[in-house]
Amino acid sequence: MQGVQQAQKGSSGSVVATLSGRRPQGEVLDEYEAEFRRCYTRWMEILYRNAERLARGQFSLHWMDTTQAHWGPRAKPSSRGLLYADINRLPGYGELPEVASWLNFAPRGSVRECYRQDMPEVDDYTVLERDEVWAENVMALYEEAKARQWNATRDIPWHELKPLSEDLEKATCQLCTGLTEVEFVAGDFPAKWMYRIPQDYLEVKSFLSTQIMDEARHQEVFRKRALAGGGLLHSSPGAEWALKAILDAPTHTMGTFLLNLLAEGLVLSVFRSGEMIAKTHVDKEIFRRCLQDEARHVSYGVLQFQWWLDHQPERVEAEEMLHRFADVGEQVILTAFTEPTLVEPIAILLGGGLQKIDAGMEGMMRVWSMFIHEYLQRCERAGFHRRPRCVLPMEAPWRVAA
Amino acid sequence: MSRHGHFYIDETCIGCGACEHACPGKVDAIFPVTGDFLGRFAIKLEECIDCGFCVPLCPVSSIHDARREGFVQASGGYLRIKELQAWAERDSHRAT
Repeated sequence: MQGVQQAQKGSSGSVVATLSGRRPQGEVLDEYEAEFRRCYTRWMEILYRNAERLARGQFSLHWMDTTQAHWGPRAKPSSRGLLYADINRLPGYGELPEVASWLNFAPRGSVRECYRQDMPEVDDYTVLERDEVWAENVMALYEEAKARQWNATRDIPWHELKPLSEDLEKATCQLCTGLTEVEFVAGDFPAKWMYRIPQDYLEVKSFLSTQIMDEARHQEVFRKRALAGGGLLHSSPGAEWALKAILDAPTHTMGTFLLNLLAEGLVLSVFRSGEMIAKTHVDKEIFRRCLQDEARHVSYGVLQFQWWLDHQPERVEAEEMLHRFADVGEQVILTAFTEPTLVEPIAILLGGGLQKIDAGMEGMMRVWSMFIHEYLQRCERAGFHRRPRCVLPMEAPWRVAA
Repeated sequence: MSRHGHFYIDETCIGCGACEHACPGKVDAIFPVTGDFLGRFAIKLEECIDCGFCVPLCPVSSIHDARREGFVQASGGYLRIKELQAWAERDSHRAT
């Protein structure tokens, strides 16, 4: 029913719209069939060729010819095992193209040029420039991510969670509700872009897949914490606008700046404050584990942004464009970070109870100060001179009650 | 006679761990500090070979070469956690 209503409103006609059920399934199946019929002669020719050979009882074995292959040298592991960095040292495998021209699944380093004419292209691979996705630390972060995966079901001592006083429990559950909301977009954003990145940038796709997994675990752990403490509480309209701004970012680098460098940086500030915010050792363990994951995402964001800036032929214009984008991004993040659903629970938890919320707001001012200065430090590390143009207030945008 | 490396990580480390996987070959000099809530990393000087591969991978420039920079006083936003910690300690807001 919902799909019919949405179809009546019209749609963009994109595959994404198809997947979201905005168009009648028969209609999109018609298009799918037509596309493959249009290419019929190309793949049917391959089928006939193979079928004839099989019927003759002959083998091809052309794949054993190593003339055009980078065959021979064997990858050797380093101290921590066989890393992407180790295999990328072999000739022919480690060079990432500045602009991807293989828009299918033929692996980088395989014999593929001679088959180019026979292969399809994936229209959704649209992020073709290495500089839009690469970061100098992406392979190291991928290794780190794999080494530090944890399980929100078993690695948190849930059975040791004791009830808090009602105000602290509600504050904890509200904070977890807000963090669940945030973690959803933190998973959707890399997922949205990952499938648009060609396979030649496989290291980046590998890292983004760990980010998606991390965020799935985060929304899981915060949802579970809320439900273990009484339930989810209120969603946050102000945060929703910030999250939408992240998901709708016009380019991968811009969105990475807004998500990884700014928004996840804010979340990282909260997690780093977890020792003071958490009121149980269970909650501390949740924050401790989440902050390690979040640090990787922030780390990728900073160096991806730096890489992009450093490889722009018109650096001044590129920076100016990012300033325009940051003007919007900072304002929506400010909207999110002034929401009572986020600020007040943290203040209550920092203060130690609803009666001490004013004292807690003093702590929140310090959290704000941390966040702003950490954010500007990240911008400077990336080579983005944001400090004089930052629209976020350097001091917390609220007063402590007299 | 053992030879010590000269690289160290200051306290502004955010714990992303990118540096941990930068050590080349059989070297494994960087490790997470046990029990540190902030998940920071440190370098075993006796195992560091001074290659410096870890330095450009750090997103907050917290890795230094003591030969060139000496022992720097860490600065920047990531030190401000100390202000919150001091405030919480002073007013006994921390969870017990």
